[in-house]
Amino acid sequence: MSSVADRIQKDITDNRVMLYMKGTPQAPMCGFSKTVAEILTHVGGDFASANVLEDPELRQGIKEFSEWPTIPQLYIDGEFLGGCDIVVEMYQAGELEKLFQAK
Amino acid sequence: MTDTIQTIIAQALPDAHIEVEDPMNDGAHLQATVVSESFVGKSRLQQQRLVMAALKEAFSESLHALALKTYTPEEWNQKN
Repeated sequence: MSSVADRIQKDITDNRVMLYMKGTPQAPMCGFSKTVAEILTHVGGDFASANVLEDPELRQGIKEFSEWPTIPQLYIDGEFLGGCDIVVEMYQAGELEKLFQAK
Repeated sequence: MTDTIQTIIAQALPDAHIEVEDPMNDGAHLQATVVSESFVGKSRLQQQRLVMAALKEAFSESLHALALKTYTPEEWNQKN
């Protein structure tokens, strides 16, 4: 069995908001990851993150788990929300804030 | 690279209006706008999944990033 998938499943279950990104929120290594981390910080929710650059197995594993070919990837309430474009659009439409308030 | 991406998306969504740009001129960070009837009634994630699934192989090879906007024909007409 794939231990990466188990680990991802645990991450997204244990953390209401889980961001898979390149780098860390403090030191993002890609513009798209940076954008999503900044939006999450701005919206004001606590979020957990994992740096895929430190873990090649996770970097590949998350793409297969989500069936989504790019990083960053955002999970909320155990569900895949999308990548950078979707997060930005939801933020601009005020939908992301509602999602955080809905807790 | 933009032509390749355009062709791949067109194969997956034959009815789609597709615009692919390469703003940094590096063949790796592209922008695409896709307008298709098949997006009607789908969430943004579902819409993007249709496009991203088709591009999976391109991403594992040369494509690094694709800024993607998806619209239904109705949304597209309102926008323009």
